[in-house]
Amino acid sequence: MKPFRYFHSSLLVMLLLLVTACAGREDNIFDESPSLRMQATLDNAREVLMSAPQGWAFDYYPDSRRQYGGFAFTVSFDATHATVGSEVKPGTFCRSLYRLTDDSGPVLTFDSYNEVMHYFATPSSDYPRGKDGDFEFIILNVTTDVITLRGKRTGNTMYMYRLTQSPESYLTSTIDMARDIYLPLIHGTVGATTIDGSVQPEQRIMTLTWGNGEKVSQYFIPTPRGIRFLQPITVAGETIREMSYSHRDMEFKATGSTGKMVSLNYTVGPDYTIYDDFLGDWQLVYDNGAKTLPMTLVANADKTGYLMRGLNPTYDVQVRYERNTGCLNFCSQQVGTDTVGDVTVQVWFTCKDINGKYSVNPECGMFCKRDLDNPGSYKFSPNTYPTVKANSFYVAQIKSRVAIDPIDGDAPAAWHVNGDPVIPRVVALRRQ
Amino acid sequence: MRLNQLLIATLAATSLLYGCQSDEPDTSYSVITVGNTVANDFDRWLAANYIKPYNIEFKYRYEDIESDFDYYVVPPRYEDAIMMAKLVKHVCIETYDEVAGRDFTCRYFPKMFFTVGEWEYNNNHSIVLGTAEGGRKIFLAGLNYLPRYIKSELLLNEFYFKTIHHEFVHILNQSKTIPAVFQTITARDYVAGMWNQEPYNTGYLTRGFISDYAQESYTEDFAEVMSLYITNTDEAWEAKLTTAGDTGRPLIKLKLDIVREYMAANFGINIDDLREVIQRRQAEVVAGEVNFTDISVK
Repeated sequence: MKPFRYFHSSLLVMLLLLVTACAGREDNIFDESPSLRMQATLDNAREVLMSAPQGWAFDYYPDSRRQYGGFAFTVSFDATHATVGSEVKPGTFCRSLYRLTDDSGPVLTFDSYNEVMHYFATPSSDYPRGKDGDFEFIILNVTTDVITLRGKRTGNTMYMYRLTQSPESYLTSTIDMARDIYLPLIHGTVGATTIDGSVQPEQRIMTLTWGNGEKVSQYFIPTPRGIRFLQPITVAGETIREMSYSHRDMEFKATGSTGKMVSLNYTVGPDYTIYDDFLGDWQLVYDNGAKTLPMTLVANADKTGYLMRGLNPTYDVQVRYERNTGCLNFCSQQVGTDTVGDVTVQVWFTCKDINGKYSVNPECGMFCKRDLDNPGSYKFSPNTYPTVKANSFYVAQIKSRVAIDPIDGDAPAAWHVNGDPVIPRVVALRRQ
Repeated sequence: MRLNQLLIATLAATSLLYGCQSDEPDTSYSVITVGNTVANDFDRWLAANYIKPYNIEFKYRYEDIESDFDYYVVPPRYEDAIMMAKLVKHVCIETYDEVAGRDFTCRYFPKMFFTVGEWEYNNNHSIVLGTAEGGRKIFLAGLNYLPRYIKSELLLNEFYFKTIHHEFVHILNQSKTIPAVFQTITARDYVAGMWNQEPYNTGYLTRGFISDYAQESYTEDFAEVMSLYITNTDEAWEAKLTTAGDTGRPLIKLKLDIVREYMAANFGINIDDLREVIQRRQAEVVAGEVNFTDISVK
């Protein structure tokens, strides 16, 4: 046994290793050190972020599974602070500190609290992880007009686009646009190819199918002029990122990458009427067409319905807009309280049927739909409420909400319409 | 044999020299860059009031590396962070200055605060108000609720002061261990994560615990006894002991005696003096005698 012999050979091998290990000298791939290059990247990012006088439209996607869809945000930067707005907090623009740092690559972090920027990140006892929103973003790419980011928590890729209008007007128009994009079915064409599709308005996902089962599905966020997809989509050979939308035509449009027009329409019935077309002055035609009453439909605060004004100067009647079918829905509702003798009564504007039966159920009422046989006219029909097939309005008084008793009877005269508690046999709306 | 070894050694040494010969560092720049964040007024106030006198860093801007990755948190509001920095200085740092001297504060008081805006929410509907780490760092949560609680001594105590003192006790424990006898007083009754659940969330006083959370472990028990004693008035403390009754009172009193002895022997602090100073300073906060917005540096 001569252990030293092995010792020497192994020493020699180790020695050889050392010699080869240090023999070459590698040239740096980059001219500058990583930290200097990182600093240059961050300086450049700050310069570009600050170079947009109106700031940036930030298409924000919370949650790693994107279960809430995406939301329109705006961010504008000065040297130390960011001002953030969003469709989720209309009218609020919150200013807070931000920082460009290098903890996971170049990172943009909103590192002091901002009630808008941290809206989806803020935890609560019901949502210990908030809505899984990011406020720290790895900067993947910076160009003059588009900044590509990746959320540190969610890993979602998101984009900021240079704004050419004020954040206020951008968000106001976007919120208006978002209100108009709600229908589930679309169809259309790309050149000669027929496209079918659907929209999930809650998650803001558009799915398009064509040809032999070809399919594309993508998230989108409303913009002032239409929608913008999270990533560009290719439908029947045409690649598009944004589409304009006209609610009057119910049509999405874009010119594709090879010049063909991508045109998609919401699938609606011929009697569909858009929200705006119900606004304004009307004649309410009743008594089977023998009489009319003038009234005006005014938009309610969030444009989800209308106020019917003019039947009685002391109160308005709320009218629902059924946006999936494009019609009006007049339903029973309380319009006030009054004192009869020494009893306080509720005053209700109700709907009643041919037998005089009425209900204070807020679903009881009448639809009013475009009359395809009489252009310019809109006809009434009982809505889907099962037990009262209403054809008339009736202003009633009710002593208590619990005991609904039709014999409570007519409301006091001050609440009547045109001197009568009943507007019988309502048939149509016509333009004045 | 010997010659061989010499030869090998020489070869080895030479090859090493060769390997490193041509790699001259470029000293014209530093590879360590400091970022491009601009210091603001609060940073300057912190430099003058925390870093220079105490070498304490008060972090109010989010750094994921400082946060607990088990929880999703958000940074504090700038204004609330200023308020908290002033509170901690008035009610904690200067309290220990006054009672135990600045040397004690510099030596033992945690060297870093990391603050966030929200609580850390657990799935069992409890929340984390703060934690202490490694004898050096205190994590403080929920700063965004501070303006809501600033007028109430009770709520300030409940959500912040007690937490800071509680965590500071942990830090002291990480320097001087808790006397072994303390663990034996209610050794069988610690329940870990079940402390806020049935049946442990009630009747803890009679079992000899000053709070529900004290049942978590003996280290939490120790911190709870101390922090609750110094932040509660005499009446409030007595009321707890009265509720504790014949079974709980002697156990809690025994624990408090050990805490009292521990603080006196290891740090020369009389916890009754400490209590008096803390309560005076807390009253000053609630009475509005502390300016929470002025961050001018004198």
